[in-house]
Amino acid sequence: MGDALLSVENLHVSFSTENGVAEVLDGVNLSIQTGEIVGLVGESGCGKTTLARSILGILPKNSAKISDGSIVFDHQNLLDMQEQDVARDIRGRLITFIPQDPFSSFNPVFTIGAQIMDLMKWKYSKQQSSWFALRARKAERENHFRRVLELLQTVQLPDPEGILRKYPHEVSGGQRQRIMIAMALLPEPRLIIADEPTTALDVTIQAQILKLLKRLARERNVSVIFTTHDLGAAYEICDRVTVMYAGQEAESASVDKFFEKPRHPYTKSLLGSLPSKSGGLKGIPGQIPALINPPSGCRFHPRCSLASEDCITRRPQVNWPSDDHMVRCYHPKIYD
Amino acid sequence: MKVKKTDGSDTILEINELSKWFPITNAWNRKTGDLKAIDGVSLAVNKGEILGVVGESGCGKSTLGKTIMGIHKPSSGSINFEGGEVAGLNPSQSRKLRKRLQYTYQDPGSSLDPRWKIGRSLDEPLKIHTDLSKEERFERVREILDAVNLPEMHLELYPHEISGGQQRRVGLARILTLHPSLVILDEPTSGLDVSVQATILKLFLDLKKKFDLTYIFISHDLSVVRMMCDRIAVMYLGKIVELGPTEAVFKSPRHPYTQSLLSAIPEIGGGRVTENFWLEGEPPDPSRLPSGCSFRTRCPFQTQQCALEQPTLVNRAGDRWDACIQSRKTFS
Repeated sequence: MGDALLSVENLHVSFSTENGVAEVLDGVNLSIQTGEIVGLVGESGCGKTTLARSILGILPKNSAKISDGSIVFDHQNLLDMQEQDVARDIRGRLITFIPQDPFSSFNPVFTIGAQIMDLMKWKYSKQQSSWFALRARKAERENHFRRVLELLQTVQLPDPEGILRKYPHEVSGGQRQRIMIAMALLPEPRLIIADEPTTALDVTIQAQILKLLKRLARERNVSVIFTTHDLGAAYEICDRVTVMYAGQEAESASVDKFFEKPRHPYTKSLLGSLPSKSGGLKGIPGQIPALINPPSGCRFHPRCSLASEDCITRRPQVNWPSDDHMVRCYHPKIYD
Repeated sequence: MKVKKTDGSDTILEINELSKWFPITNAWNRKTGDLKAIDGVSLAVNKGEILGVVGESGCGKSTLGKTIMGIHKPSSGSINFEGGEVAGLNPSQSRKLRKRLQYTYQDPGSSLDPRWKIGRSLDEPLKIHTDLSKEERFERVREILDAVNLPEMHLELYPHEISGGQQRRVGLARILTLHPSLVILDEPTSGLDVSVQATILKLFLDLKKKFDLTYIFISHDLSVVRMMCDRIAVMYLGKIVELGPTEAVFKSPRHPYTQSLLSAIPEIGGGRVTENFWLEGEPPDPSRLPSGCSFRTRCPFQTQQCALEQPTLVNRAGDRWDACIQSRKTFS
């Protein structure tokens, strides 16, 4: 593998809850190249959002604990950096975030324009507090405004100037998500983390947003981590897909290999539970395990039809069936 | 226009020109207009079928379900269920009806009383609708619980103690205790993971067979609808724009809206939808609809005629109905 933009290695994150300590991430690896769109898929509770939040450094401080591992972004280990340095240089600058629900991420009492301009001020202004700087500030503001308008045009919003004067509740869900994408692109980041960006949207709007996100990422050579539980959406825009189960990554492969030749039994049954024309309805027996006292070894073993002694006692090592295909299972050859 | 049944099977529900308009009021509570949530919808549901109602959020599919159920009072039109008129009944009359006609809410988790144990929630409809003794009621609850594959110990749990999939099962069990004939399922799988969704869908099919049910399946998830339903009705801004057998509609959609809706579904293994998706823009504000066909502002095939004429649902061939004045020219 070449030089990765971001590589997460052996990341362990645990949350302390009333009932005990939940191991939400159990030794997760993830790497992403520049310009690559990586899908992070899995069912609810599999830890995909926690992984996204650990990369951004926005885990809740009083309950979450990163006990082991590293997150190397652009040759720097983010976990070793000072919190204020991450806040100043990385988060919101080089790594930006597109949330699942764009509505609750806006402040309802300010116009959209005010909120975008705020972002510009915060990220770009040099401190100028003298009286003589007034004119310079005005020029700067106009400059910012032009840039914002340009960006809103690239995300294909009709009437950008009108939208800047509106309040968040006055624009539709699809438009809010376009604005969020624009805001994520504003600081010219190298990595965008999109956390289920289309889950709350209708299918035609989803198609529009995915198309837009893919085009912009390609044009600007930005990497995207796209978390979703919708395998169809992942198929649409990703170059590579990593599937997670109960805090462990199960399989990671290029998008074609992933959907054509899945190796992990979990991936296989996940794809099998999708409604299909042929009418197969296969569900997965059992339930997602609680993460306080999770199953030993491979966490999927209680629901797996192939589970053997080894699966129960030890966690499977990384297997590479081919160069761009990684699977953590003792039985990776079974589907050949 | 009357939508008649087309094969020999019995019609269980027939609605005619049904409308539900909500008043729009200004800050002084003065009425300024109407939001036509459903506008002149006619439909017939055959006994034993699964009719899918699909469309994007705000198209009126949930309002349709709730109006049939009597949760909303219709503004005009008629609803005929099992041979009797049900629109505009008073509460005590409609209570009798509800035994046979049932509705499941989108989120069963929030429709169960959080302070009641599951057992009490399941017992309640029987208490209201039947004269059974306590033991008989308990027997019935146990039977149903078994049918939806829930262990009996769940009766002693509270709604927050069980998972989303199990909550759906409880929601289903709760209405099935009354042996309904028609069940309106409103977004029955939204918010479920795919592996759970598959087991729940399978359960719907099993229960349908076991209890001889008819479903109206309201959903925005087209791939689920395709697998489950015999016929589908596609709604756009309060109107049905296309109606027909599921496979036929999916294979050769006639209304341009149906075409764009179907082309937006990601299909694993097929071409990427995002590479040639043509539908631009978003649905217009439902309180200020364009004249004529409400889809014309986004439609690539629109002509002047579309702005002048309000298209109605017309039978084209066999079971196929659509509401596009150009349907015959452009797509047949």
